[in-house]
Parts: sequence; C-alpha cells; structure tokens
Amino acid sequence: MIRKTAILAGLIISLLFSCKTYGPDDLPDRHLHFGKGGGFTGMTTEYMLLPNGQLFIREGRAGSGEWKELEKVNKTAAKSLYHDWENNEQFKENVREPGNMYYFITMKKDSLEYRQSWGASGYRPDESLKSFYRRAVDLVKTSDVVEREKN
Amino acid sequence: MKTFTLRTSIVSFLLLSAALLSAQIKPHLELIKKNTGPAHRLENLNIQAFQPAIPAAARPFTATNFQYRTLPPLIRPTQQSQVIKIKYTDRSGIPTAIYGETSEASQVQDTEQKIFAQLKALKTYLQLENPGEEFRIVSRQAGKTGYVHYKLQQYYQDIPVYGGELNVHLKNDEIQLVNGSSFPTPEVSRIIPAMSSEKASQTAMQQAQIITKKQELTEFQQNVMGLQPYQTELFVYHPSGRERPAKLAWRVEVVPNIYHREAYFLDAHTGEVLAHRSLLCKAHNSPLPFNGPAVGTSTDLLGQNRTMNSYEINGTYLMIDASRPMFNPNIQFDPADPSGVIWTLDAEDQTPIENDDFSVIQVLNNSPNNWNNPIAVSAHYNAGQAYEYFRTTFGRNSINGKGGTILSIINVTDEDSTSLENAFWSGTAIYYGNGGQVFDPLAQALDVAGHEMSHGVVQTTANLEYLSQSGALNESFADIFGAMIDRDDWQIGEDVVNTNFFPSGALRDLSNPHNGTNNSNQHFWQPEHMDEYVDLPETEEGDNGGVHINSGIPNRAFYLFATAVGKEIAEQVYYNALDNYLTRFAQFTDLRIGVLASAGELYNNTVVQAAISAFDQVGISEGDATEEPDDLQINPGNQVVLFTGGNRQDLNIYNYNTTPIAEPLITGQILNKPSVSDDGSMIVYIDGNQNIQLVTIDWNANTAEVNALTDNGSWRTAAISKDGRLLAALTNDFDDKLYIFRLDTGNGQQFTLTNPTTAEGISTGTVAYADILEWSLNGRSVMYDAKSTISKVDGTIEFWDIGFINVWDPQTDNFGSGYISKLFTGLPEGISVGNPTFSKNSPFIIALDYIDETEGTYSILGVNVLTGAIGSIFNSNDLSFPNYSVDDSEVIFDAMDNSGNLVLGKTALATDKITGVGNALLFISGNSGARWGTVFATGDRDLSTSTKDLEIQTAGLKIYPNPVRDQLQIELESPGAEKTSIRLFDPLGRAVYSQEEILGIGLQNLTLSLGNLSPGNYVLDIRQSNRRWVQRIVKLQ
Repeated sequence: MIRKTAILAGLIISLLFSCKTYGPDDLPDRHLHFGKGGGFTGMTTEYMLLPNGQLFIREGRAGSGEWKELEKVNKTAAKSLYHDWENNEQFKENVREPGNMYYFITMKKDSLEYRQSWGASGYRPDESLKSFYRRAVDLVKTSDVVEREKN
Repeated sequence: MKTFTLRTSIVSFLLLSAALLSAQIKPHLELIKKNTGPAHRLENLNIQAFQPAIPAAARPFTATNFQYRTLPPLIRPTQQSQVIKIKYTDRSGIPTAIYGETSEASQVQDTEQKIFAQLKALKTYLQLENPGEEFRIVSRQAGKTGYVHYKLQQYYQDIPVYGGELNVHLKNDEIQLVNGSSFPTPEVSRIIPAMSSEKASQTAMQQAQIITKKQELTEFQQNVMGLQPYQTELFVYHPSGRERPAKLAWRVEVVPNIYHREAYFLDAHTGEVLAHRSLLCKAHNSPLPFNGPAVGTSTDLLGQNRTMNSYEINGTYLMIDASRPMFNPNIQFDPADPSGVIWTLDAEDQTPIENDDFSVIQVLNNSPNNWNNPIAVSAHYNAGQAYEYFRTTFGRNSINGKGGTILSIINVTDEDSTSLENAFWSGTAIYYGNGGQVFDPLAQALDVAGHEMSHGVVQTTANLEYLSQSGALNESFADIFGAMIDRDDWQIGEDVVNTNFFPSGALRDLSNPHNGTNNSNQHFWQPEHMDEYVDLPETEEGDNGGVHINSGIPNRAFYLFATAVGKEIAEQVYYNALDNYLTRFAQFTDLRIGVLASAGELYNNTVVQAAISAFDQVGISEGDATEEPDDLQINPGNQVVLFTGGNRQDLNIYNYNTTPIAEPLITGQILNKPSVSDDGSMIVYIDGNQNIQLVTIDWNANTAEVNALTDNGSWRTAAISKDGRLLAALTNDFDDKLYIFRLDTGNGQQFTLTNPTTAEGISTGTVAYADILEWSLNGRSVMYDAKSTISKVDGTIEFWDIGFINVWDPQTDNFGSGYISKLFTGLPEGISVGNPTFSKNSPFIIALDYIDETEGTYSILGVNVLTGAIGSIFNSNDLSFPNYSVDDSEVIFDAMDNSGNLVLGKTALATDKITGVGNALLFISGNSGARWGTVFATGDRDLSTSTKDLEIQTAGLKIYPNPVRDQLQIELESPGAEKTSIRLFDPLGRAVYSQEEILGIGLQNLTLSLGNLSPGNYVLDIRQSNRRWVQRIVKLQ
C-alpha cells in the first residue's frame, strides 16, 4: 500500500513537473537560444525555445529588450530539436565566426553555455548546424508571432 | 636536501611501437600510439575530480585580461630588426603587397641595388631563387610628393614571365611598398621553342578564322589605324594562374579584320592553344562595338530622377554600370561575371540566410531609360555615388582598391520569408532588405549604401575585427564614410527610418549619439563619451561587445574634428588613418593615435590640435583605453627544474643550482612535456599507458603523491593551469579537439581548434592536431602549437604554428568563448614555429622553436606580442623546447653536449627577455641525460599583482606635441620628490632613451629631443617608486 501510494505520488509530481510553465526569470536547466543580428541597423532577434515548446522572443538593440512569450510550438518538435542537439557533438563546441550580419545558436545548460555563431566572410558553418538552424526557424514560423504574442 | 616519499608509484610501462608520422618536425610524436578506434567523445573522457590541497580562493586569480593579438607574418631571424607588413590577396601563397624596408635593404645606399636587396631578403615569401637574375627594372617615375616608383619585369632565363610584374615605391630613398604580381621561380624544361614564330602566327590566325572571317587589312588600316595583322612574343606563361606549372608559350595577337583582335597563347613546343582572349578594339582604332555601356535616367525610391548607367546587349539593358574608370574595355565582357563594374542583381524575395538554393537574376530593361524598378534604381545609383566618393576623394578604385566589381543585391528577405528590415555587407556584396514596420526599403538611402560599402573598404584596409572596440571602430568608420557620402547632415538612416520607432528621425546621429533621448535603454541611444561606454559581453546577444552601440563615441569624435577643420580635411585624415595606421585589433586609443599621426602627416599642427581636442572631448585619451599588462611579481620560492631523462623516462627534480632534489621523482615513460602549477605543488604528465597522472607535492613536508586522473588510455598531452584549477588535454585521436576540465568537479568541455579566417584571403589552412599546451598566466587562454595543412593544386603544405584559445572566463567561473587568435598571420612556406612557452612574469613574452625546413635550421626565438618584436635567443641543431627561468633572466632548452649526450643547456637573456646574450652553457646532464626542462619556484604569489604594485596613472602627465617631430614637452605632476625613471621604447621593445633623475614636488617640465629618432610608434614609460605613467608617442619625420 505504501509502495502504491509512493508510485502514485511520483506520477502526480511527474505530471505536475511536465506541465510546468516557465517564465524568462524561471527557466529550466536547458534552454535553447537562436537568432540573428547586426547589419546596418545592429538590431538583434533572439528566440528562446524551451523543451516543453514554450517560445520567447527578444528583439531590438542587442543587449537590451525584454523577453516576450509567444504561442507554444509543437512540443514534440521542440523535444526533437533538443534531442538532436544532444546527439550532435559538434554543437557542444564553441565556434565564433560572426560577420557584419551574424547568426547564432546557443544552448544554455545548467551553468554551461555552448555557443555557435557564424556569418563571417569565408566561414562556412557545418551543414548540420545550418540544417538545425533552419528547423528552429521553421518551428518559429508555425507560431504566428504577432497575433499570438502575449501581453 | 629535501627527500621525497612516493605514496603511489607509476607501475605501468608501455613501450610503444614507433608509428612514424612521416617527416614531421615533431619527432617526439613518433613515440605516441595513435588511437585507431572510434574517435573519443567528451562524455567518455571524464577525469577524476581532484581537490587541490590549497583552496583556489586562497590564490586570487584575477590577472589582467591580456588579449593576445596576431602578429604580422613572421620575419626570419636575419630580418628581425624591421617590421614588414605583408598582404596576400589570393590563395597562391605569394604576397601581392609588402610594406616596409627590410634591414638588408636598409644597409644599401644605391637605390637600384637597394631594390634588389629587398627582393633578395623577401625571396622566401616571393618563392624566388635568385631575384637579382629574375627581375629587371623597366621604368622609373618620380611622383609629386617625393615618391619614386620603379617597375620591374620578371624573367626566366631572359624570357619574360607573362604577368610577372612588381612595382617598388620609395620615399626619401626608403622602400615603402613592393606590390604587383610575381610568380615562383618557374621550372621550364626547354626554353628553345620547337615551334617557330611564323608557325605560331599561322596557327593563331587559323584559330581566329573559326570565330570570324579574315579580311586583309588595308594600308590605311595598318598605317593610319595602327592595326597589325600579327604580333608575336615569347613568354613563360602560367596557363591557370600561379599554382600551375609554367609553360613556354607564344603570345600571338592577330587582327583577322577590323572588328576583331584576338590573342592566343600557344604552347611553344606543341602548338596547343593554352588560352584565348578576345580583345575589344580600342574606340579610336575601330568602329564602336554594337554592345556596351549605355546611359539613361530613371526614378528612384525617393522619387528623384537619377542617371542610370547600364550595359546593352542586343537591345536588352542590364543593370551593369561599365562606365567607371575601373572598367577595362580591353577585357572580354561577360554579363554573367563582369569585371570592374557596378552590378545590381535581384534576389526576388529569397533569403540568403542558410539557403543553399539562394540565387539572383539580372535586372533587365528594354531601354536605358525608365527602369520600372525603383528599388534597383536606388541601389544602383547609390552604389555609383559611393564608388565615386572613394575614387574622387581618396583615389581609391572600388571597394578593394583594385577595380573590383561592386555587387548590390536587392529584394532580400528574412529567413522566415518576411521582409528583411536590414541591410548588410556579406564580405563580397551589399544585401538590401525592403524594410517593413520599422524601416523603409533599405536601398532607398544613400548613407545605407555608403555605410555598407565602407564595411568593404574597412575589410580591405585595416580589417578591424568585429568585436568590442575594434568592432565599434569598424561600425564607426562605416557610419563616418556613410555620412560623408550622404553629407548633407550628420544623421544615419534618416531616409529609411519610421519615426514612430525613431523619434529623432534617424537611426544614429554622429553629432548627437544620444539621438534625442537620455534613456540609455532606448534602442536608438548611443554613448557619446567614454564615461558612458557600454560594457557588453562579446556575444551575439551582446552585439559582439557593443559594436553598434559604442561606435557613438568615435562617431562624435569625428563630428567634433570635422566641425573644427572641415569635412574635407577630416575625411582625408580618417581615411589615411584607416588605410595606413590602424590594424585589426585597434582600440579607441589606437584610433586617436592613428588620427593624430595621420593629421600630422597630411596637414599641420592646427589640424593635429583639433584632433586632440575632439578625442579629449569624448574621453578617448592615449594610454588609458588599452590595458597594458604588467609584469608579475617574481615567485619568491625556491627555484627548481623538472626534467625527464634523455630517453624521456622518469621525472627528475633539481635545484636550479643543479643539485639533485629527487632523481627520479617518478619512474617510467613520460609521453609529454610535464606541466607544473605556478607554485610547484602540482605536476601533470602523461604516463606510458596514455593516462593523465597528477603529482601533488607538499614542499613543506617534502612529500609527493601521484593520482591517476584517467584510466582510459586516451591521452597524449596535458597541461595544468597556473592556479592548479584547470586541466587542458589532447587525446590520442590526433584531431583538432582540445579538452578543458575543471579539476574540482571533473566537468569538461570540448573546443575545436581552427585557424581564423581573414578578409585578406590569407590561406591559414586546416588544423590537423595540436601538441604542446601551456596555460596563460591569467588562466583564460591556452597557448598551443598545431599542425595545419593547406591544400594546393599540386598537393598539400604542412606546417606548425602557434595559437591562443580562450577557454575560461574567470568572471563567470565558467568555460570561455573558444575565441582563437594566432601568433602570426602567416608563415612563409617551409617555416614552422612550435613548442611555445610563456615567460614566467611577462604575459606578453613568448619563447618558441623556429624551424626553417628549407634550410634545415633551428632557432629559439623570443617574441614580444605587445610590440611585435622578435629576438634571436639561440641557434640550435634540433627542437629545443625552451623554458624561462623564474626571473626570466635565462632560458633553458634541450641541447646536445660535445659528446652527443642529450642535456639541458641555458643561455642568458637581455632585459627585453627575447634576445639571447653571451654563450650558451651546459646546464644539466642528469644521470641518464636530460630533456623537457621546466623551471618553477615553490612559493606562492598573487598572480594579479604587478611588479612593485605600480599603478598606471591616467592623470598627472601631459605630453605635447604628439605626434612629435623634434622636441617632446613633458609636464608631470609629481606627487613627491623622488627618483624618477624616464624611458622611451621603440617598436621592438628596445629602450632608445633612458634617464633617471630626482624630480621635485609639483608640476615638472621636461623636454626630450627626439629629432634623431626614426619615424614610428614609441612608448614613453615614466616610473616612480609606486607610480607609473605610460603613453604612446608617434614620431614624425
């Protein structure tokens, strides 16, 4: 009986945990950031995708701006991105090749940060990185950014 | 004598088979077995966590953040007294511009002999065997400003090398620049052509008749129009550029009729057509071509009627402007790849961002007028305006200065297919988005085109790194020239912004960087003074250290300067500073120095003073913006030497006076040069089983303990940080990966070693694997040597060079960015450098092995990364693995005694720490020879404390004029009456002036006479017992 209760409690806790909604100041251990910036304007667009599909955006001058939450994207697709990131050793290296216009993927994991940036003339990022970036952006496209933006 | 008790001994010995790694310059690597299984993964490479006996917190570790910078291409030891700047513009490995005069040339008076002395000194770079025989002076021309220009033609055994032409520019009999194109000494087996000149002419004419009819030229056409049916000349010809073998070839120019002039290169032995050029007839010699440049008018996005230059092909007009001086009508026009033109293309709402299918189309019209595409009209017209600005204002012919085509690509979308609210320079082209909510189509504004084109100019001049202050200078120069091209105001982007988002009506404003708000959180605000400098992380989210934000400060400096002296003078001064004074890692203070020097060079003291005032007003002063790393306090402990036996067995420790302390300390095979923490309490090495071993020593108890950090047999090199907290290691995969571990937790991170790309097109190759590792004194970076390969058409070149990788960030106490810089920007073919080691107390001094594989010589060199000075420490017969003594007064190294025994030698150093003095001496023989010596001391020291606690003062010193021609006035506010040393250092780090005197209290006036000094940059260093002032000085002619 005690064992059944413990299992049930565990399930409930697990369920509660899996449904947890996060905010910019209360983030899970892992969070994936990606985006672009620079150019004439110097403005940056940065997305933060959480494993549960929560999506945030921060736009404007780099280093400033507040996170705004967008509509959740498909959780399975988000998890798939995290899974693929974990299984690609190249993503766990730090590569810094920004150009006048630059793109980046950053995984913040516990206290660690894995950063890949590119855009420099003459530097060609690995195909798997480009593909990953495209998938992440495609996932953002599934969320109607403007209409679903939460105030 | 101290005695040691080993609590754990090394028990494993593994004699590895000598898997030879071909003829590399690292013979000791032959001892290491390469992993033949699957490549290692980080999660399988964990090390045992280890807590040092002394908590890390007990040793403060916040040393100066010293940014290692890349030096110019390495100059050989025989040429080390001159700083030569070499530029490469293609992948051939042959320089196309060499700035400065070599010491060999400096010693020659006769100008023509001087030119050949210069070429001889540079023959390795130019890949020439005997420049004196291979080049001939063909012309000499005196310029207007004291310059004399020589043209030289390359020959091979009296036969001209086609395209082998160098220009040598001198001023006041000193060589300023050698540029042009030359070829490595050709190898042509037979120089007597088997085919006659007549036969070659016939063959060429037959070829020409394939494409057109032959019509005999009339007497009038030959005598009056100057047309000749045949012109034949024998050349050594490179059919496919510099990287292919040369051939003996006839160049035959035939004129089959007045409409055609064709040139053929024919193999002079076989008659094979090697190349064909269709030469357009010159306008005065022939009828006008049917196709060609056209001009009309059209309306742009602003509703303005603009002159449109286009190119007609059979009644269709392409948006290709071939009307500018950079266009060469004698080169066959290819509309798919035109040369020397301004070209606008349409991306048709595609995104170039991670889009492998990205393509562009020509912008077409059926008339030279009324182009129904105002976006294209704006982009095309504005590109022409920007081109003309640089050409007419500075004589700069296009972005690259060589008439290179300027590409504008319009209708570019964002990655999500929405309209791109931006424009950017990709390194080869300007991309324009069409804006949206925040911006109008970016092609609309002239200053956008000017800004982006200026990025290209920056890229091909100072090539300012796009990071922090150098990145902000990159942005600032783009804004400055953007504002000068669109010079009716000081605003940037005023023609494209939505004023709902930019209340001032502009994106940025050089005259008022605050841009209408005092709220620094607003996206349109920029700082206007160093007091407001925004310190952002060097991440993408941090705008790479605030490159678009802090550019407001130098922007305002330019505005103030230009307001004082006029835009016409200010732009000349800034362009000259960009082109000639600034380098890749220039900081704000370097901008000030460069602008002042440029103002002094081009104008007068009034202009210099205006520049000083401008920089003063924005708080950019000389010296206080660049952190000058200072020497550390010498480790006060007992000085000892760690070394292996001659066969790289056992670890031994001797006192520096060569009395043994422990011989052996460890027994067994040692696979890498051991690494020691700064206090000598921790030693790391790889044992014969390819595991990482950690020896901890208690110097008070005279005990040592060995702990295996790994048991997976995967390692070949490891190095411990100076504070003993971090470990850097390489696996036996011999790959481009570097692993960094925290010793306290065992957590690690993998870094990839790359060779940074450069905008100058220098081929830096691909890193194969690294070898020697050493931590910087401040624990942020690991210095390494690595083997790289460069692919060439005829094979690969392998070489070793030295890099620095940022692996740790003390502020966040976490792994670093992985940012890599190299010690040298390029190494001549056949030259390698390796086995680097830091001086013990100067974080900017390095000793290394220098190998000339062509000559088969070895040397130990010293390098001052701050000044770029290189000194010769010792000429050796083999790799030396140098290491500094604790006080940096000596270097020890691997050597061989007169009997052929493997020993350690040592040599004394001059005070510059990079130059050997006196004879080298036998240092340690050991019981079984000696190798891989490392000197350390057993005391503790604060790695953040500089020598004598000298604090660099930013106030109290005023010097003028700077730049200076003769008398330098020094006003020093001396806080006390005490002995003061005043020294002046040249760019090589040598003291050219030294004086000590007792100064009184209060304002002291001193005068230094510098009239006899050579022009260039110097550092003035004034010290008192607990104060120090440092200022850079530019000495003018």
